[in-house]
Amino acid sequence: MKTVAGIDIGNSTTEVCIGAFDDRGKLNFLSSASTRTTGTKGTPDNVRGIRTALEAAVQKTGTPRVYPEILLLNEAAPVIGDTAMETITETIIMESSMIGHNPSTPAGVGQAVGEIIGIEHLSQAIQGRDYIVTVPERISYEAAAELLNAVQGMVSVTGAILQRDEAVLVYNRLRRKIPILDEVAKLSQIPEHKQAAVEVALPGQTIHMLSNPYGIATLLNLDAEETRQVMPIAKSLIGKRSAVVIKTPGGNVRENVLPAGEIYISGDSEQTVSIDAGAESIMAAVHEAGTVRDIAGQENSNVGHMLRRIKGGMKNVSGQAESSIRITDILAVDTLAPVQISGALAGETCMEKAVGVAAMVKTSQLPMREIADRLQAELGIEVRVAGVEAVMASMGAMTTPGTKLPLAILDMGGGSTDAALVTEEGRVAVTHQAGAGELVTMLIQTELGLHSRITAERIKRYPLAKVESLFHIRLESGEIRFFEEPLSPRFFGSVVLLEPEEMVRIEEDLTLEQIVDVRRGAKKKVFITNALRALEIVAPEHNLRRVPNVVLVGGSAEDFEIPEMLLEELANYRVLCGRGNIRRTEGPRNAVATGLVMSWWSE
Amino acid sequence: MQTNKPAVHLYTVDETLPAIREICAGMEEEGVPWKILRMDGTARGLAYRAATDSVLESGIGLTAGEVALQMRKVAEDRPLFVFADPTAEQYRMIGANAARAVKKKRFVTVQAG
Ligand SMILES: Nc1ncnc2c1ncn2[C@@H]1O[C@H](COP(=O)(O)OP(=O)(O)OP(=O)(O)O)[C@@H](O)[C@H]1O
Ligand SMILES: [Mg+2]
Repeated sequence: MKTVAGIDIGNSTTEVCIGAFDDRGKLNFLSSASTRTTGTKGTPDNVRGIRTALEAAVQKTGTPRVYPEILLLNEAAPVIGDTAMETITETIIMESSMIGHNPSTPAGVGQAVGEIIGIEHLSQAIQGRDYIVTVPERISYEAAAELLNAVQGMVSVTGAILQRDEAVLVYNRLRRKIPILDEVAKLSQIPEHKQAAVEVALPGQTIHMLSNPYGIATLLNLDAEETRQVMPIAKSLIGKRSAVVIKTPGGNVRENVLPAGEIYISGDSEQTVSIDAGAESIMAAVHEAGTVRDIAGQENSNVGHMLRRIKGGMKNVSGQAESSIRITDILAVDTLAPVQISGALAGETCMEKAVGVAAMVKTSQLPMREIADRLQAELGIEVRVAGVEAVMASMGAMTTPGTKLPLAILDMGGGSTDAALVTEEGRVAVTHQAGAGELVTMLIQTELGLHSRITAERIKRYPLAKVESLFHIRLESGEIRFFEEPLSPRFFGSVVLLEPEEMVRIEEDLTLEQIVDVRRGAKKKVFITNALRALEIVAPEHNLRRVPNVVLVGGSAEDFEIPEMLLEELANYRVLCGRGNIRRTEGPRNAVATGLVMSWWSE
Repeated sequence: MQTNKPAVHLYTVDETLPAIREICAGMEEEGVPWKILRMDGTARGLAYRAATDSVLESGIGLTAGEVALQMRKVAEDRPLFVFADPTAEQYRMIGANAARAVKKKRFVTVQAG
């Protein structure tokens, strides 16, 4: 009998599998365990995590406990994934020239045009002019209504902007009804004596005049040049329930196109592509370059800094010269990032175009031997470095019921998506691509404007529901679930995540549909793109239609919808795919560790 | 018998309490109708009865110095919100939330003060 442990160190997770061979080489799996990787993949810091996972696996071998006699470490693919975001456009609105927001209860409906005047200055108003009145916090709704009613017939007030949430209260007390916007926090920054246009939409609808450049031109009498300038304002007001646009002659509004950097790809051919050409062009250039030797970014641009930072990180980790460190793949995806508009008065943001990038850095070899020696010294057990990650993953994946050679695997991890194809004769083709679960999480975070990355990670993993009463919720599938005991009032009316043990409220003001759209979009952008390009590389003659059945493994294969998305997409090429079930028990996890144990006998 | 029109019910031990103005402002801004009745009891007890009687299933109980918000079928001793010696903002918030309970919108909160 010989007891062997396989250990897989990933960017995110360290996994262990323990198995025992009898004298005839028959393998019996005893246990497995996993833990978060400690430190950067491939560094001696990993030892701590390895020992934790190993200890946990040994605990599970039963009584008496079985301690492995040999530890096998994967020859970890020396890749580190990293993600970054580059904004391409930027809306700059100088001076306070607009408000667009969604107070829950504005009042009145329609548009109004007039000169801005503070309610306390109404006595200075000039007959024959139209006014839009601003009402600061210190004036109560009763006082405001009284003041406005008092000047009725003398001063023409066409609209009002309130600081407090009291639009309906004022409106109900007015003799002459006007559209009113409320909850404008920075009211004091609205300049007096400027022409402004106010619009409030019907409940359940959105504004249509101020979100259209010609609508603004109509209301504020703009010429062609001015109309061109208000484009970004109109754009940022799309979808709002109420808005104000203030005409600030000489005020500067523009949509900048940032000097986005260029990416230089050197491979079988040299390619240069600008970041602002968008993801599709960038990926076409990556494809065009063939086998990539290295990728660099333009000096002093965001991409340039990002790619340099990744290389620097790897240099520190590996202790190797920068010349032996290369970026061998990038994945670019188009995205939108909400950016605070300068000059906005209610904290408005504008969705700016951006490109999210994942990069993969490779060094000639990771110092795996160092980890092995450290482990051997600490535990007094023989430690070997054996087996290429993707090959081991394929061996492990073969334990999924219903598989046979030839077979392909997609290992969808945190930083990278790896593919391997094993032919009937046992020949193996492998590839490692940048971009996986971490990039999905980043896209969800930026596109939804979430404050916390943890929330983004949870949104990625768990389905949503809307709490419709204290006794029932509607799941995103449309089903209703009932509760005997009332839910906590803090959930009422909220969108919540259905985690296994608890319900978690989404704090941000987002609808269920918005979140679902972004979540699914992010997963498709990353994993469909990567699955197709990875499989194309390992496919016979690079023909996707010749890919055999695909087994999905790795943490992102645990996702509740990614496997289905891939199944649908790959069906277009008549390729079958599904989530692996390693050793019938592990789901898509533990493939590499399992493969390592299996590989020991054949050595 | 009175007809039971759709409204949030506000049951109070004293219809002249100044807090009523703030509570009703909260409901008015949200655009939900209400009905005020005088009745004896504790804030919790009154809120429970008000929610039970309201067609809209939302009720407020008000005494001198305490206010509670309740929705129908929730246990009497577990009101959704209850404040002792509330501030003007808290009264306004109770009114707004009584209305938001009807509109199925998430509740607003205020800093205790
Ligand atoms: N239940 C789940 N649903 C969706 N994603 C998940 C789930 N569990 C883990 N993940 C994701 O899986 C990723 C980590 O996968 P895994 O542990 O296979 O990576 P790794 O092998 O350590 O990393 P790499 O392959 O990049 O070296 C993370 O992005 C994580 O968010
Ligand atoms: Mg992995």
